[in-house]
Amino acid sequence: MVATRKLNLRITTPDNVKYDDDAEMVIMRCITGDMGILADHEPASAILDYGVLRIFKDNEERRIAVFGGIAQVGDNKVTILANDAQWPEDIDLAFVEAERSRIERRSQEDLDDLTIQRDQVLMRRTLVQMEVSTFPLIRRSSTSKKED
Amino acid sequence: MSSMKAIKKRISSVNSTKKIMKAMNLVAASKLQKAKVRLDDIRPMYNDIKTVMENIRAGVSDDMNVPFADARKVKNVLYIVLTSDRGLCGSFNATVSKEALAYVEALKDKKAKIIAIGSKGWDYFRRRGKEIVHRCEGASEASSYIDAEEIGKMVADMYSSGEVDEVYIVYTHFESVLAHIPYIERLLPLRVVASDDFDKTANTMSYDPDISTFIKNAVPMYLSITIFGAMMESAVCEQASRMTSMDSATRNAEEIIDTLTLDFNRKRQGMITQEITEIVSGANAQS
Repeated sequence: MVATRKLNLRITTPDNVKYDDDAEMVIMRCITGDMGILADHEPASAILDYGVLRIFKDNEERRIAVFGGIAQVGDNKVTILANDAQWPEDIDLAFVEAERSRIERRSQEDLDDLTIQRDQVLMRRTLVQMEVSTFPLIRRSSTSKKED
Repeated sequence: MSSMKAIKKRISSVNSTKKIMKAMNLVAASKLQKAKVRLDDIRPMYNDIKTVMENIRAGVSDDMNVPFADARKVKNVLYIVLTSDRGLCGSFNATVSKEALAYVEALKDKKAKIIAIGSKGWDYFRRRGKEIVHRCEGASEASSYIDAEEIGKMVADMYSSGEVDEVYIVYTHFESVLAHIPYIERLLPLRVVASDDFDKTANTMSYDPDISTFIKNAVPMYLSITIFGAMMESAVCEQASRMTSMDSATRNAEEIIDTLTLDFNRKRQGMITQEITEIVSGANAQS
């Protein structure tokens, strides 16, 4: 099997460093769509949207919820600066569900624009949290992996 | 007799003050450790965003109109001043407030606006009749990134709307437990002129969707992170400063107690001597 070239990925948030290790591929949700990064990618910068960030390494795919930020690629290094990021294991799904139904119920009421705007952000947050929790970790058998 | 009683009273009152200071010292020491951990947690992101801003500098061409970097006539200057909410921390608040005031005075022809983080700074500038546009409390101990984000966005809005033309941040930099240095940094407008020693290879950086949009998104984040980092630095300095000043206060109290005890003993001995003299002279007179 051909050894895959790896890149260095670092995900930082204001609270702490979430990930600082190597990876084979990173797929991140940018405001213009998904962006996949392999080793030796050209230097690039992108704005991150709310979404799931997928980290591929050793036939495994780990997922982390990222709530906006910026990404910079260069020198075989991917630096993710997130406003906030959460691993699926840190998400309390029951709480998220409760939050979601609360916002849904509230959306029936007559609200001012600011509250609606805030609720929309919260709603997107819960949706990403739920998405990331559905498949926190995906294992692939090594045969299904593309070899070149 | 009464003076001995007075001395005794003073000793006990100094003693209880000493106990309070000792307790405050210990509390500050444990808070210092906590604050240090938080500062270490924010540092990686702080350094990363600095690199991102440096890279922007290289990607900007001379004829481009960069958001947050337009050269305009400076009329209003915004200062973000970080102090503590509580006193009893030595010269911590005075040092940083004085540094900020010196800058405000130096740029007298421009109108100064102040964002006070920490109530001591708010008090300081209010008494001097400066315009305070925003005030934030509770930042030193229980600050969360959301507070900093709010201020960062506000500053970005104020700058883009033309309300202020320059933004400075004044905070205390943590060197060591005993050395805290007041720093003043210009946040906006961005410095987009690339320095000579800058790595030109970063010039090939592609921006998605384009560099202007990227800067518009990155700058509020840069401001928030810088403010948050400064908050953490200030918090560490505050606790360190409180710890050392409480330590010296405890030692001072001990010294006072020693002198008072000596005084008390001297007075007591004097009284005994006097009594003996009286008895002896009384006995002598009878015989």
